[in-house]
Amino acid sequence: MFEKFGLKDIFVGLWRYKLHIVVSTLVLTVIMSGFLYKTTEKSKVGSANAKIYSSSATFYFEPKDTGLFDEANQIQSNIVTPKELATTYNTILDADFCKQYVLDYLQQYYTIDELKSTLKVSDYTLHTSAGYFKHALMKDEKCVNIYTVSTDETYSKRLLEAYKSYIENVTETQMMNTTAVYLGGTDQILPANSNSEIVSKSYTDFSAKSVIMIAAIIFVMGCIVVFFKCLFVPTLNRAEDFARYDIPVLGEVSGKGKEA
Amino acid sequence: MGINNDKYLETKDQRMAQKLAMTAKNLLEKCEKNNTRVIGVTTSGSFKSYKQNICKQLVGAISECGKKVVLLDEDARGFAKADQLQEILGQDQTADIILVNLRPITRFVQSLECAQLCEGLVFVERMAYSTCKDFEAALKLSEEKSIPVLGVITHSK
Repeated sequence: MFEKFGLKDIFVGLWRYKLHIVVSTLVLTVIMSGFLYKTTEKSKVGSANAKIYSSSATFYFEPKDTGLFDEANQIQSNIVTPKELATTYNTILDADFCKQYVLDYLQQYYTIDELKSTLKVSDYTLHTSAGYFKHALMKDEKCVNIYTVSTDETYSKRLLEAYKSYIENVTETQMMNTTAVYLGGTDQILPANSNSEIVSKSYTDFSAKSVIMIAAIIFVMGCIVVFFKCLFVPTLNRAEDFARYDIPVLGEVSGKGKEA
Repeated sequence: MGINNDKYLETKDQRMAQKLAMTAKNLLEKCEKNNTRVIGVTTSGSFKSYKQNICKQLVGAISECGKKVVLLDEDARGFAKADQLQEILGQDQTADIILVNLRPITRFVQSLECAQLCEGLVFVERMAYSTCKDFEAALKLSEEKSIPVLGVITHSK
């Protein structure tokens, strides 16, 4: 079988089935693109109806010993500054013991299964829980902003409460020389297709690139199918092929020709 | 542009006519060598329309070589059974060459019976379409039925 197979046979096969490949590529691309487009549109409709809930809080940290820190008169060089405190708190919010504290706090209200069903996720662990929480230093680097975001309003609020509780706990038990001043916070309801990574990452964009990719994949697959067809069902492609059977070639006629 | 196209077509037609004349010449040589008068023209595939066309063209080319040629077409219902073909062959003794256009012998029993009445077989095979498997099966069958194969005429678009 394979001794009859050469590069010419592949090209002859591809040329023979060119119409099949092109038509099947077009048809399948249209069908698959339509299907993908429909799926994407459904996701968008679903996401348009869905909402995400965001809660935020801002804290200012000041050294306890000297009362309000006087920036203009930094006389005592050994006194820790609000900037340093803010940086420290911002860092400890990423620590595992902080996450553990938050998880323990949340478990007063929810079981792990309840958390999974509330957030519609398959897994809820110490690390995945951190995905619903963000924190950053404010522009002046003296305040820390924390915010939570999820598809469940109560969960967002309780998660923020948990972090607030953690900050209060740290100031009471570990960093007793500081005071955390709560500057305020907001609760927001946002559309699901807003810039929230948590919600929007599951929705994919349908673009011309996807169509081209689909067409290219189908085209290549068509060529592969033709290749295997040529390999396993070989055809007579040249006059020399008949020499193997000891049959002389009387002539080669090409084209439709004129009828005699 | 139009003139160039005409020239191209003329050249292409001339080339085709040349090829056909060469094919007819080779076929006649083979017939003389094997002392064959009745030639069955068949194929291993199922592409009958171009075979019919080639048969007609061959008749023209053989006539140009100065031979009297008759075409009996099975596809056009010139005969339906081997008996009818035998009868026709018996009646026509004046033709130098009788071409019998047959359907694929591997697929039609009647065509195989008619092929057995022929003194030689010529296969018309379409390049890139006729499979090795079909061609081998047709050769094997003609060998089993002791029908000599004179040669192959290849056809490509």
